[in-house]
Amino acid sequence: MKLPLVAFAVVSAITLTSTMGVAQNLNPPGGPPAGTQAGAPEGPSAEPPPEQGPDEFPFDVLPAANPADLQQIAALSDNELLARLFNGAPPGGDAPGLQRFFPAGTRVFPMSHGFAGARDACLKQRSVVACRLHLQDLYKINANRRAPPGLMNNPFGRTP
Amino acid sequence: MKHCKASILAMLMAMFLLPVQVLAQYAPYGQSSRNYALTFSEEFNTGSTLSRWNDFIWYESSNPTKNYVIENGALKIWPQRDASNNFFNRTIDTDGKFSQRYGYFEMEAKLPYGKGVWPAFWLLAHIGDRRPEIDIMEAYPGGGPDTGWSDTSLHPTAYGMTIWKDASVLAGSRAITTPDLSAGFHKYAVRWEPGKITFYFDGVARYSRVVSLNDPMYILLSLWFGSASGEPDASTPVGKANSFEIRYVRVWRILR
Repeated sequence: MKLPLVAFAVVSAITLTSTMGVAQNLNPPGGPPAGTQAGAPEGPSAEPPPEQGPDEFPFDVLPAANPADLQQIAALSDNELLARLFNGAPPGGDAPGLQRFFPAGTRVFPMSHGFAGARDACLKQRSVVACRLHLQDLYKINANRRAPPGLMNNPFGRTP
Repeated sequence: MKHCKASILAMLMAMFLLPVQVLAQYAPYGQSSRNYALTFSEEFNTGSTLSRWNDFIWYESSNPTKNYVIENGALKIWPQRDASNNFFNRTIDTDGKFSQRYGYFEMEAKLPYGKGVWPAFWLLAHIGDRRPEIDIMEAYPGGGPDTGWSDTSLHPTAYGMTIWKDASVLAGSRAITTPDLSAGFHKYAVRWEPGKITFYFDGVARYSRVVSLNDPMYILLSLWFGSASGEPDASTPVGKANSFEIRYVRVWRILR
């Protein structure tokens, strides 16, 4: 009677040892729809080859501006800077002082969260820190401009 | 004697089978646990707090209108108007509490739908005047079927993965079409290595890019508005029933 127990322990130990190193994530509640589990990668061969390419500048769609103008605004004190950007406009997202750098209705895609978040917090919360970040972004875009204004990126163009 | 054998059998099963299950649960989905060491795990268990998270991004203040909760084993963030009747961005992040250079970052989540919503799972660093960023998942359901991001009822049927060397310097991006991402939970992940970044959807590698990002980054779960999702309006479903619902966020160090 002892033999089956010993055998079970040995088999269990072997199973544990062999499974520990290669444990695959079980499909927890709410896992993928039927069929996806089978499609999970089984090794490096399942990976697409990594792409290589030059950096892109989707914000070059914005109108070109003199970076020195942005530096001049950024050099203002906090109160002067907010006055210059918002120029008495009522709260709600309009910044007349930024119109010529980022005209209303301009579409940029993709847009980083880094850029979008600072712009949004500057316009809606009028956070000085966020406005300075946004000016810094606009400065870099114009100082490092690579392409003429108006070229739009389309990531779906590369959908496999 | 029989009772004794049954006890031993149960003990052996508990000793050997339970650890296998636990180990399996904490391997990246579809990956070998041998290659990873868990460094961060947020399971959003009911009753837990967001002690390792902030509810705002560093350059703004937290909106006092609370539009998030941990409930039924998930973090829920939903579209809501604040006291001034405006939609507002909500960011839940680990800035100053957890960051990591390289690794495997995974989230299981269900997405909200509707005009203007922009749910995302991303990594960010702000170092000096640089803000490198890895967008593991960002969806724009408000874009509508003509844009490729959603169906006619503005349910997300695609999402994007993007790498930014800085806030305006794009290192690579890809959009993939999917089933309705608001209809069920899916796993979104990235394997970030020195010199290469690979994105995964439900355990399957979908996009890989040769790129070098080397700053430690923190984790962000956000429900913002705008970009390709458009501006939210009266048609945007508000409230908990339309939540960006996150079951877990886990991070591993890559061992090999």
